[in-house]
Amino acid sequence: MNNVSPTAPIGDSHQDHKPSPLSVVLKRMWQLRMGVFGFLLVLLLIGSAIFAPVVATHDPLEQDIISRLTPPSFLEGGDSTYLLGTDQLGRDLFSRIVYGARISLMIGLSAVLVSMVIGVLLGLAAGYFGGKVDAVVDFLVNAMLAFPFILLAMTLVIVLGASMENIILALGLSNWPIFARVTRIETMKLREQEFVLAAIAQGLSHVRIVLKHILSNLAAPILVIATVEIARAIIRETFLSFLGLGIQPPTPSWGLMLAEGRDYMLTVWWLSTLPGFAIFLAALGINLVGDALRDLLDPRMRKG
Amino acid sequence: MTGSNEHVLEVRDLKMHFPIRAGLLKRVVGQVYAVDGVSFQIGPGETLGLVGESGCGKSTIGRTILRLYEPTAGSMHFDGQDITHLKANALKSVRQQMQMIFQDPFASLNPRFRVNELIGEAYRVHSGDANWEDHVASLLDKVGLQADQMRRYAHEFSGGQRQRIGIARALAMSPRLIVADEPVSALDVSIQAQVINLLDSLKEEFGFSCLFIAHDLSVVEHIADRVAVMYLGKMAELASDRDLYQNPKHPYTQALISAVPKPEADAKRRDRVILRGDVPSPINPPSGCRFHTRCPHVQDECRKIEPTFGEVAPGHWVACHMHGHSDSGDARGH
Repeated sequence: MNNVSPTAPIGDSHQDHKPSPLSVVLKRMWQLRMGVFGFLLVLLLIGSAIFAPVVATHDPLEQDIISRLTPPSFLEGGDSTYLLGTDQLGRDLFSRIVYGARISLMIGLSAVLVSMVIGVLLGLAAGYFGGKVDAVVDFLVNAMLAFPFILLAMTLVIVLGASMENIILALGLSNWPIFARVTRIETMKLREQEFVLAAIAQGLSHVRIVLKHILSNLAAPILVIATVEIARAIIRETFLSFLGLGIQPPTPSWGLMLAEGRDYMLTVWWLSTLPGFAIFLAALGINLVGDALRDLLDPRMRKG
Repeated sequence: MTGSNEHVLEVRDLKMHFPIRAGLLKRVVGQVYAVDGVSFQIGPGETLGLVGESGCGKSTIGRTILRLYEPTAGSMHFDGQDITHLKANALKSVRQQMQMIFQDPFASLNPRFRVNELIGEAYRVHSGDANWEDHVASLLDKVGLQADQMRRYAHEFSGGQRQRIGIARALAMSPRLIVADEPVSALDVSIQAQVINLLDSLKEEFGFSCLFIAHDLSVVEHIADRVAVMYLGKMAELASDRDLYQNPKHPYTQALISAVPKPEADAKRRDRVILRGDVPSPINPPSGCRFHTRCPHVQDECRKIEPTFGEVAPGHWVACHMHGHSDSGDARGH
């Protein structure tokens, strides 16, 4: 869908001149406009997360009860010192969203990384070796899927304690089956491909075949799932926050802010809408980057 | 029982049956008798052509020899070593000496790898040679590709070029035996001859033995020293190249040969042997001679008694009741 421009071929034009992988990736990025848009969006969010103290106009924890529930500056009754207004405790919403990016992106990325590593490794083992290994992994996946996610994550947080690391762990451990299932099926298909048979016939080790020959062909589906799951992990943190098991107040996370704004949904709509919009932008940006990366990583699509 | 060293490969009474599973409990409800008792040898530098219709088990033989499948019964000796049930580590070193060229030049090359990795990976891993790319370059040169193409991906090549990459990959380990599984049947006719000629000249240069699998007698005619004809998991006939083409004994071989088109304009109308019906299923092969359902010369005993695979002339083996063989107990004249 994105690989539109049949512009000059890059990457393999001359044998002597071999551009660095980074410059190839960057060049292609320009050819994928939606990818660029998503890339910028993610850059913006990550940038504001890293440089939150510079970007934010206020201390995100500083309360100003007098000016509580001030509307955003672009609305009637808005105050120009509070760009996006204030919350029920008079804290600057814009600054809280900026600082919240740190927490939410960290949770989203780390939790997905945890599920991805577990799920992909189990899926590869099940799909490649089959038999008993497959039966065990299959059982684990079904057991996990039969268990309501929220119950599992809750239990984990309660047992481990509600810290950032434990929330990441809980979200990561409860969401690996989707990676395992897709990886398993794709691996089973690849296992029968002649290029895998060729690798076996060449006496290469199983570890090398699985981690190099098979995994290299799984980048696309795994990336696509990962980008969707990052957005979902951010939202799932909301569930935990809503139940008081997520990020603990007053630390700002998008999910927590969304939950806190719930009481004012009908009257002070921006309290929950604006953090929700931030989640939406993050999800959109990450998904667009994921799509673009999938195309970029496929050598077959590298030429226009 | 030891395989003698004069053969690079000796296969004895090889059987490869695949279980059919069905139902919730995955119970075995039947067997596919893909290869059902096949014996042959390949000498040093020799090329054995293996011919048969699709589904007759010829590709299964190739893959079983490379131990991509676990054989059901029988034995395989490679350079005198029994490899039938060799364990992982020992198998690894044997595998370096046996290589395979696959039928589909698209499916057999990993789309994510560049040519240098495709050809040189196993060599690099097994030899630890830091200059492995020089080796790849020389191999590319040998198969008629340019060394400066080694940074490309397989999808940038045509089918014929891809098959050359596959051949270079097989040669990388300097194997003693190459199993070529229908290496040209996926290629255009104009390219087929090129690839066969290439294999022929590489054979001279590298001196490897070759099991050349094809479904077409005319493809094998040029490259093989001896030709084996398979039908439904069994050997029908095995003879030297010349004997088989000039004096085919088995009715199935005769039918296959009569089907090869001859280019001569004044060729007399030969008696074409037209086979009727389809190949029976290998799940439930016919009793007696497996070919009896389609054989133009079928007799009563063919339906009941399975013919033995015996030598009817020096180096010429046939499994047919019409050709009694001197060395078997139930020799029957016709």
